[in-house]
Amino acid sequence: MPLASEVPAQAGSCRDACTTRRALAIDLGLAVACVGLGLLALTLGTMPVSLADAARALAGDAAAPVQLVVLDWRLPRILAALCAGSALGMAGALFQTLLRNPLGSPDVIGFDAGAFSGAILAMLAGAAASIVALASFAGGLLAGLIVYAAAGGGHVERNRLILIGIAVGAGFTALNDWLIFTAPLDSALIAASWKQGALAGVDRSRLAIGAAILLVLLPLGLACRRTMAALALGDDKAMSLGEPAGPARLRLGLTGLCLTAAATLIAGPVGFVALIAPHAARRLVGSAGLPLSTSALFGALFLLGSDCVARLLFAPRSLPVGAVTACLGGLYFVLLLRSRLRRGAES
Amino acid sequence: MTGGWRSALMSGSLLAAAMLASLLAGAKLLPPESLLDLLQGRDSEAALILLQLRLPRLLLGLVVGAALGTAGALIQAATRNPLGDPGLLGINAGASLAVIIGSGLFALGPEASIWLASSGAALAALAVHAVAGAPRGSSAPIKLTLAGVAVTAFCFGIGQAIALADPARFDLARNWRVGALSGDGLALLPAIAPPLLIGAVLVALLAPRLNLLALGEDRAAALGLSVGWTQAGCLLAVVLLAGAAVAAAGPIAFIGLAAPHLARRFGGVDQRLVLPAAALIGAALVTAADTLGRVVAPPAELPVGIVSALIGAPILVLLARPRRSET
Amino acid sequence: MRGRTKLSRRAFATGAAALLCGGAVTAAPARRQVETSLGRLDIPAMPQRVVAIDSRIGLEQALAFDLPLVGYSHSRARPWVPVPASVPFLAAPPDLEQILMLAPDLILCPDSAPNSDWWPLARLPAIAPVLPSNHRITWQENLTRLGGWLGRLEAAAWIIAAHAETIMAIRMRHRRVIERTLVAAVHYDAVKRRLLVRSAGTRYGLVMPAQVLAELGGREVRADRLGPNGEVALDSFGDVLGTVDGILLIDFGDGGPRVLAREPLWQRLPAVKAGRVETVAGNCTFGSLYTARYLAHAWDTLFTRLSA
Repeated sequence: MPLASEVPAQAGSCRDACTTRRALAIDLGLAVACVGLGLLALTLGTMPVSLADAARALAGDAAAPVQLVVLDWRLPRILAALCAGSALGMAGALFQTLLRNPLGSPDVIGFDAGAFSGAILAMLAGAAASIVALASFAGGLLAGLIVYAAAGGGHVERNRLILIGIAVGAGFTALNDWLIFTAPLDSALIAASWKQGALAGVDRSRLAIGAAILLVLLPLGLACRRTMAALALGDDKAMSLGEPAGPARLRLGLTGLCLTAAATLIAGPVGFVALIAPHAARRLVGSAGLPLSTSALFGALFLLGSDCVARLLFAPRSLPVGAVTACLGGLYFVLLLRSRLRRGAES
Repeated sequence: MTGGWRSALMSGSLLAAAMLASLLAGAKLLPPESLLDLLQGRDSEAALILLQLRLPRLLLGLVVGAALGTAGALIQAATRNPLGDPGLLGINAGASLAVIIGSGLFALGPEASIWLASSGAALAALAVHAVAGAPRGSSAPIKLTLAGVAVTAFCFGIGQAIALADPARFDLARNWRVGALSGDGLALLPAIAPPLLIGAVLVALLAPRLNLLALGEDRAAALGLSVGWTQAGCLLAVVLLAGAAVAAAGPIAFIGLAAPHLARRFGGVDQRLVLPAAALIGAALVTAADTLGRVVAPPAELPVGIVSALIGAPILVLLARPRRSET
Repeated sequence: MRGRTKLSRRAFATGAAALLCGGAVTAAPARRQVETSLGRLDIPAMPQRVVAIDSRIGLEQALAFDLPLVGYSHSRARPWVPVPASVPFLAAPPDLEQILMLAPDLILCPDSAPNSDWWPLARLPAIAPVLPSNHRITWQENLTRLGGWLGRLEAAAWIIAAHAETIMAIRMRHRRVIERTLVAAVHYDAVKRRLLVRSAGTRYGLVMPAQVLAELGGREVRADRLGPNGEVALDSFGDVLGTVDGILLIDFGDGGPRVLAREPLWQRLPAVKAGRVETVAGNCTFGSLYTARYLAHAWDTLFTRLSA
């Protein structure tokens, strides 16, 4: 599977059925893996907690400190990683379908940087945590709208749109650097630690806001499946299937944008999840298009796994989760390249 | 010929203005007369500021800017990619990561950093091409840029992990993510001289060949040009120039993108003119961005990397937008 | 008794051992109801296991009140702070689970950034009651506030009075020099090549060298000449520090003074030319009584040099 190829369209109906069954099985496997890793993660950390203790804590009858660690600290963090990861995975699949480029993910085209700008501005104004989260949501949306407007309302070659996204992202990043650089030390420190992945500071209220938004967005995203398939057949075919290309693209883009913003609200700007997840999902399922549900589940698993690595690698000091996803994502690229080079040598 | 003159005049005057501003402006504004103090060797405070702070910094900015401008022009000419920029293509990030690994983990000095930065730049360049799958055709520039962004994110991710694993030692290499000219110019310049000189010689040798390459690879080959060697030479020169720039000032994006475009606007298509003009304009841009960063919020300084990105991002948007007049 | 039940055997054993060794097991553990910026708190009258999140203010305060410390974070204690070797330096930024396992019954934490990794004031109350400190009020106000909460106002007053006596002695000794001269405490950041003035109030907070200088009645450089964090650009050395008679050069141990000594514009300053620079070792930007005492001594040495 070439990394920079256009998404191929046609597939036979028999193969479709096989792929669907395979996709279901893989989805189920990924979901089980998410739950399993989540349970395991409940026991990982500076304080030793056995699986039995964790289960008792979930049931509500463990000792007070165990209850505190498992229910108040570890569980929100795990749920946040799963929520943000699934949102990013799905957003990645939507955008990569929309832009027909495996590198056209929301973190590459500047939405993360925009969301961070919103968050910094709110933090500098001394806003409460929930306002900061909403400001980051607004910032991500703003970045997306700027890209959309600068690209002339989407009537532009997809690759050019990605490039404009990269430029807008660079601009927002420079703005963020400037704001942090000139801010008083306290605010600068908070902003910097938010950037390093906000998973560490996630609490129930922020998780609740994010989860509520996702509860609406994830089904909306899944509902895009038909639109995606229609678009993959080309604009004319899509039209004949009752999906005019323009509005369909706008719907996909807006859903993906909101998903990204929600993920940023929960977990801060985390790169590489939206980039890797759809790609890995497609390889797993072996389908022509980008499978939305598989991508979301893989994103959740990937972010949770990265967060566990981030917490445990240098424990008790924790790494920013974004650094871990970047390293693992880079590793994925390298492996992909190697397999491609090997295949190239064989043929 | 007229193109050549206009190119020289425009880039020359831009550069002169930027240099003058860089010398006189800053947290402390110097009167123009102080330049006379310096020339007459008078022992005034203004002369000392000029001699000890502003001149070394100006020289560092000029050298870094010229290196980045030339590197960008080389990439754009050799790969016929209008978006060629060592920053956008991940080359700066690779060099920066190599420096942070060398100085942060192995406590190597600036002399070693230069060669580390060049090797890192080379690795990043190869990685970008591999990730993009050595694309050809009109979509190649954007595919390469995308791969560059991915490689940049990867390099910064590892850099951040290293930095946070040992914050104390990392403090020594603080400008690894955002380029700045606050280093000691007098100490850095001799260290980066060798790779820059080799790079300059390579550029002088390559310039006429790049003109042939502009005709298309097949025609260039028919005219007796060895395309592979020319491109390899360009890559070597880019790696040396960008590596030296990053080792001295950290990663600075967009200079390598903007300088060749301006150079071509002033000077046409002859690479023997475009390359030196891009060097001059790159030098002028870095100097101007650095000066701007020193005057916006004195006495604090905004690093040149931030200023260049704030100015460069809209330029990239403009370049990316389709223009009707353009074929 | 929150946080002391069935935590882990080791932590429980440490906690129990600490209780017994402290010899402070009383029949009925007395509690105090106190009013802080975090609301009404229920704290132990005699805390047995105290964690100081910040090694500067909280650690010094805990030592001043002789509170039984079980750990501290942020950065290693300065050499002039008499922290017992048995008190461990915890993970920095603090790890909540590590703190919970120490089973503290009182936590001291700055309130400068309640949602940050470094000073997670908002999340610490789940472990134990938290008493805040603030880096924008004087160390005496911080100490008095904490003393009031702990019911140790007399101890606080005694410490403050003792310090005032030291200050008064220095003032008497150098009265004329202090009145006549302009002084500055500076720190040089060799990597970014910038000088930070630490003897004037800036947006950075109420830093200790500035506090102690104000107590001594000394004259400082004007804050409006400085950047938001007290920066002086290299090219404005003459403008900002040209009229200064004596300089206290704070050495963070990062080689800053050595690099600064090579800067020609530094060498050109009248105070430097005349050799009226006193180097003080260690980061003393923030702190409490021990840092104040250390700095009083440093300023005393500088004024002695100035009167010579």
